[in-house]
Amino acid sequence: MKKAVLSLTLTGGLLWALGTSFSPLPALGAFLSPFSGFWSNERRIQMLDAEIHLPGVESEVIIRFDDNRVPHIFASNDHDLYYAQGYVTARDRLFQMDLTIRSAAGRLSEVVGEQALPLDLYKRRTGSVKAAEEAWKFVQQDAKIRRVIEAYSDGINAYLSNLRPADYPIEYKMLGFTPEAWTPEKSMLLMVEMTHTLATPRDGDAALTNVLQKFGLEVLQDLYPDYADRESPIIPKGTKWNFKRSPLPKVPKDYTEGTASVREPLSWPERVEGIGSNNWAIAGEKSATGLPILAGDPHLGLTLPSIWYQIQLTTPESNAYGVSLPGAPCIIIGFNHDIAWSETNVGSDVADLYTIVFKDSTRREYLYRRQWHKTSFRVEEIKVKGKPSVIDTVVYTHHGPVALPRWGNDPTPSLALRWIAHEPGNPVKTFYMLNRSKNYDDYVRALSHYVAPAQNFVFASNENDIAIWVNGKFPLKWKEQGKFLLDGSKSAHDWQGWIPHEHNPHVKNPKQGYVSSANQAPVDESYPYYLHWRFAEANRAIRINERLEAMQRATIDSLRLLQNDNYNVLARDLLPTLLEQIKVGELNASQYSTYTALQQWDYEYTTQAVAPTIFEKWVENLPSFVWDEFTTDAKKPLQRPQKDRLWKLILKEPDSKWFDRVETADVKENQTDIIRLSFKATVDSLTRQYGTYSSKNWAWGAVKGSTIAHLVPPLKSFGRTNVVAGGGADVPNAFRGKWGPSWRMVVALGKEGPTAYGVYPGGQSGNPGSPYYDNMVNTWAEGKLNELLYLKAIDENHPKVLSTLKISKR
Amino acid sequence: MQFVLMILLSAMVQYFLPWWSVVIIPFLISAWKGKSGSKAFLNGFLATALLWFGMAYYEHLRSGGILTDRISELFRGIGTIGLLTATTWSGALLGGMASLSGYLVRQAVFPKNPSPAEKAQAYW
Repeated sequence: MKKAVLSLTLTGGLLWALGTSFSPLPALGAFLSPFSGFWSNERRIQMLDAEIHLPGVESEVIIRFDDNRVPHIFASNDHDLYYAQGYVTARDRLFQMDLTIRSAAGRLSEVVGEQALPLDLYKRRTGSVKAAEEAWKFVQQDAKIRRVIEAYSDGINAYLSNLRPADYPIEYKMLGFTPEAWTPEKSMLLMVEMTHTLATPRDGDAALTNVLQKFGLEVLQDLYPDYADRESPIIPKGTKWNFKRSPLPKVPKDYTEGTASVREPLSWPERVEGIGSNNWAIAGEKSATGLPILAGDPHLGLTLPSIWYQIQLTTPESNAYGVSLPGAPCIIIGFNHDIAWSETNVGSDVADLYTIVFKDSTRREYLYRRQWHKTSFRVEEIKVKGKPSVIDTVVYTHHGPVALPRWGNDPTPSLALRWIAHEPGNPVKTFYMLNRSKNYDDYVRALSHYVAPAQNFVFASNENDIAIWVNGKFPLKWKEQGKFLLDGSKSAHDWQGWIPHEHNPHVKNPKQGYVSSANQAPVDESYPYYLHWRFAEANRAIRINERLEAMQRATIDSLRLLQNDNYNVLARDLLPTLLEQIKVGELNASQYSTYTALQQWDYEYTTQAVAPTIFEKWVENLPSFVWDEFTTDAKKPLQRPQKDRLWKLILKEPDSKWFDRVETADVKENQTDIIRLSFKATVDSLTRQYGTYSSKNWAWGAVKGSTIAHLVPPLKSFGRTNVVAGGGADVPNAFRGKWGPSWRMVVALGKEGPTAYGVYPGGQSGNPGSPYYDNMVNTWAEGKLNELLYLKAIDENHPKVLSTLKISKR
Repeated sequence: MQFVLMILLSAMVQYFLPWWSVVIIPFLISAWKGKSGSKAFLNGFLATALLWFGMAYYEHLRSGGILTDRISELFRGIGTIGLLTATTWSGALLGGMASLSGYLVRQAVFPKNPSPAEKAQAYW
């Protein structure tokens, strides 16, 4: 008897030990069992011909897989098309879709524990889920698009319902949670998340208000201009605006530019600088084929699995190819028989903070137009793994959620967020229509339904049209409205409506024979509406436009080379002036080598060069020498002037008083002093960071990032290290490690259909055990593209088609 | 016979139930047919070891081991052999203990008086 109890206890103990997760290890029993654990993820997902039966399809769907595992879906109607898209995307990318949505919804703590709580709180306070719910309500009014999104969702769930726990993606087994059913709201939430990435709520409104209070209006107008010095706007200078401007809201007389001194929400993520993209199209007169060629490379976070999923979507009425976002139906960047399109981000000001005055700490009423108005409350429950839930009550005003502070009795000023993500839109409709567009008019109609995140949609068609629209819903603002904090109690400070869609900046077939964008200012100062005071620095744009201007009889390869171009025009424009001030006689040995390397540099960001390493560090150091007056202290964060303003100061205003440093009261530094000081500091910090000067230690390829990590970065071996390739933030090839060209595509339009090339740094399968997990990384790193297989008919015989999956009702 | 039955039935049960089902069949078979404590333990231990090792190695071979390498790296480079060993031992210990428990529980519930012949055998 005793023996039996002892033995049972031991067995039970063993079961407990193997069934418990000792962080960071997963529970070993489930993980090691060859029946349900990681071993069963070894199964190479079948590439053999197969047939499955799903009750959800209306008729037969044929999916043909090519040698990169790209699905080419042939369906007889829209429902089956998007149902199948949902199904295959889930099969390849289930964990990625699930994790992205949990993160977007502020539900990470539920699966990873307390450490994710700040991020979750932030998502709840900026109202992501509410935005998605309202977007879905809005989309449901459009029966066609509602059916598209529902079919996609049903397709995902059809895959989930046949999934045994042993077949769960490996990440679930490592992290110890299980997949969750999909809903249409989740697809909408993915779009909100894209808006978050590309039009981040934190936009410096409060920090700039502090600058205004400390330095006054004159300094502010001088150092924070609304138009950059070195600029090459998207809509070519001199383009005539073919519309009559709508009346602009007046600048309120009592506009005090934010009365309260308010803390910037410092815990909020800032938009990653240099996150952006390139795209362009050349007209037939510039191309070897006589028809347009279009190129696009969106720069986003580089992860495994990749943010993009290649797919071809075909019905009798439409046939589109390109990349999709796992979690949303349709193709986002791509082409069809007649047209091609690609997007880059528009950094317009679509997030403003309003100061709110509450009647009391219950926050039930707030001041607006000299009266108390009722707020509404939304209770957010954040589940936390292994801990009790955290409840957060978010107060809503007519502006939007009161994002800060969290508690009613907190004396810091309350800030409400007015953010474009809360404006219901139907982005899927835009992409659904683009996938089916045949010409310029179709494309413009598709764009008119688009809200956010605003994008520069470049376009080319086989009718020999090229165009670009700076497209999205832009609030109609008075000049500089939202550059500083706004007063939430005054109706004149509200957004006053919208810029009419046909007034969005655009150009069709400009004389120059090309259109392009690289996140720079959309327009020059002649545009009659206010979009923002700052945009991404124009270096990539300047280079791209210079190259496109020079191109004649260009081919697909000419555009591919431009995507991989590593030439930095900022270095070309700025470095000679900097080096002129260096006195060679004063330099020690390592300073002299550094100086020589810069002087001999061809401004190319190649992996072996050391000069990019030095130049990057130098331009990183310079602002702190010049803008020492603008040092953020914890109580009053200040926003430094834009980089472009500093280059202007160095190039054109050498006598500026800003060169003088505050900490040296007895010395008056000038431009020369600052350049010399910062040069020496740069050599010092490089030596500290990378060791003494040598062509190996300081090589750009060794210093810049070269890791493409898994979505869960601690899973190190699921990422790729040593992805060595040139590039930098200010050159067209914007590869900088974690960020870079997440998809490169070049499409030559043709009367008989397009010829297209593309690649992304990843693979179609999200399974780290699959050879298709990262098979395209090397091709991408070498700057090459794969020819994209655009099947024109269901029975087209092509040697690249490896297998066929048939889905039928039975 | 018990040994072969244990492998086959255990494989079937584990295909349908979660990982802890590894203890079911060794327990039941030894509760039904177990001859002695040491034999029961050894039966469960070896049968499950063979089953887990065989299955894991088969899956590993099928895929060319891409995932085994990545997992091995996450576990500080213990290697394919290390992972196979850890897997085999986990299964084996569970199977062995379950099998022993099955036998001992039967002994506790239905104590069986040994026949004189068995007594003599045990004595010698």
